[in-house]
Amino acid sequence: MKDRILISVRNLRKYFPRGKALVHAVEDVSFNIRKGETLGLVGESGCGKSTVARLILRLINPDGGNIIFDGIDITNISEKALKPFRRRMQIVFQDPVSSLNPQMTVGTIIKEQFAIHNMGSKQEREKWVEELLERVGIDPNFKDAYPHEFSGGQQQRICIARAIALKSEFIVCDEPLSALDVSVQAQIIKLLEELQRELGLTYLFISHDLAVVKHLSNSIAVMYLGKVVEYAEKEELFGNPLHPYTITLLSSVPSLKGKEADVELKGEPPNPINPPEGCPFNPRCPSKVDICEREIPTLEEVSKGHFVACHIVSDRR
Amino acid sequence: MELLLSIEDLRVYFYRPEGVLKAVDGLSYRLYKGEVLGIVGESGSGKSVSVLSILRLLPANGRIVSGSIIFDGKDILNLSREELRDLRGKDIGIVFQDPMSSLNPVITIGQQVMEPLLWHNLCSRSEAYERAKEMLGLVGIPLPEERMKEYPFQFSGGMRQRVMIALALICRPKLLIADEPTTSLDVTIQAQIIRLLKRMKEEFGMSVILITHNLALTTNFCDRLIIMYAGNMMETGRTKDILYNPSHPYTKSLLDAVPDIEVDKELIPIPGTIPNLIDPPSGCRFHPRCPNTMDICKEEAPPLFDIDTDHYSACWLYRRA
Repeated sequence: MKDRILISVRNLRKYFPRGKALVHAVEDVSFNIRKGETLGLVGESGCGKSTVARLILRLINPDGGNIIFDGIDITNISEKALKPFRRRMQIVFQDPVSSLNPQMTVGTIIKEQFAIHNMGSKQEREKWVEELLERVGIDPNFKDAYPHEFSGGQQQRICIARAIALKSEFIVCDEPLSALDVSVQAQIIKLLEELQRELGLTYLFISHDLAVVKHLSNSIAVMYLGKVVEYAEKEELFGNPLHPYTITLLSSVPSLKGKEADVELKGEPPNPINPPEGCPFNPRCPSKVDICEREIPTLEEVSKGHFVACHIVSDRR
Repeated sequence: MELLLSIEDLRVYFYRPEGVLKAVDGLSYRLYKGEVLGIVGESGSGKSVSVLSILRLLPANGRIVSGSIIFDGKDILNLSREELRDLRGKDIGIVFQDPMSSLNPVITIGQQVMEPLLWHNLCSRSEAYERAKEMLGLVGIPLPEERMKEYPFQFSGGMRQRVMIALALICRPKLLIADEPTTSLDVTIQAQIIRLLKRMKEEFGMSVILITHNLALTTNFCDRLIIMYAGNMMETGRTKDILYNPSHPYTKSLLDAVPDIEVDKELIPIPGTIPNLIDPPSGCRFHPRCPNTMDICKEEAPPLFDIDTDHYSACWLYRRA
């Protein structure tokens, strides 16, 4: 069942009011995540990638579009109807310190979930906690310790244990490595990979670190100013990037190989309160033409499974 | 090449309620005029503390307990407060990680960039204005004259970092210290800032110390690297030698643990965590996490051994029989 789609997002839209203006945080975002695979969501800060994640989990409600979880549209269902779905989806945040209650032992933090969903007896819950800690590489004897007694990497392992506690199928990883030291990041990457293999987890992996995303993902969506500008399988996206933003983004990433970026991206992302007319990338785009300032390009499939929202790429075909 | 900075056996300790934290423990290195040195390490490696010591900008509980720092012929550790103030901002400029907290929120950008010139009495106010305007243009701020009237909050993160660079360079320092200058910035902006630093280096010819946790950032910029771990230098050498021919197990492990956008490889994590420097491991501080630990590593801290020309490694593996 490798090709079954677990998450499907259709024309998702979210605006946040700020004063009298509206921040166009997410604008017409669509993609699919296949079961057991990882979609990497990349883009610069403020491009809306975390908002997309919160929308999918229904931590916030969209202003438009649909979220389809395992074939069922959960966009507008009631909180009560949503509860069984909540059990199937989890999130691991960037900063483990602020996502673990400092006044609870790690055992209690994990056990809380079983209580919420009425699972198991006291003894069973205790046993599950130990198994989970063991699984993520934390000595179960420390289950009565408090979060601050662990290092950053260990705290992130505890967050991961909590995320897999209910045997959830879908986990959003929102910059889970950013707060960790370089030498510890690889440990967490490995753990996420192992868990995916063993438990068949599906990940939405959000990161600004393209090297990490490349390592972990099966497919990748690139966001810019609330929109998906390119979306393809990993090999295709890195091997044959088509959108001018993706091209410059990839060449901005420093590499130990020491290649020098051939294109420097000028300027900075525009303000999402007042996005530019036409293509959101046009003010910075090295190859823009007239139409880019007038019309918003739609995400088109330019080759099998490779979607690009760019007038120039569409015209070339 | 002419020597600009020489640090010998520097030890910087922090006095904490829990004990004495040995942040930098016996660090020696040299920096030549016009050279770009990268100091690479994870948090707690002592990379920032080692350069803050050059400016004597340590927090109140931090003390330089031994060693010497000679900058441009001056013994930094024996300078008076006035002499130190002369040095800061004039001979040595610094750019910190977070440009928002380094700029004064209630003073205009123009004032702030002019300030070092006026403070050090280097020129008149009108000349300072002209030079600030020119410098802001040089670091890539469009319409510098207009933007000089604005405040930091009106600038984006990348633009603020450009302002910081202008500020650090306005007095034409002999040394520019850039302490994680791109860590809070997005990747396309990071590339812009590194390019800008390179261009400024070519323009003014000063020496640069770039402090970073990201090895890949050093490839196209640094002449030489120092790899630090837990307050000690692990390896030093020319950038290419360190990246393509690393000798220290820590450097090798670090390179194996970090994904690279250009290379598909299996990641090999480094087990364990960074040690607590109040009670650091005996002998080599990396030995509890090292794949090549020998008995001697637990007992004695290794000196620097010769690997190749200008390439040294603090590892017992390279002891000659």
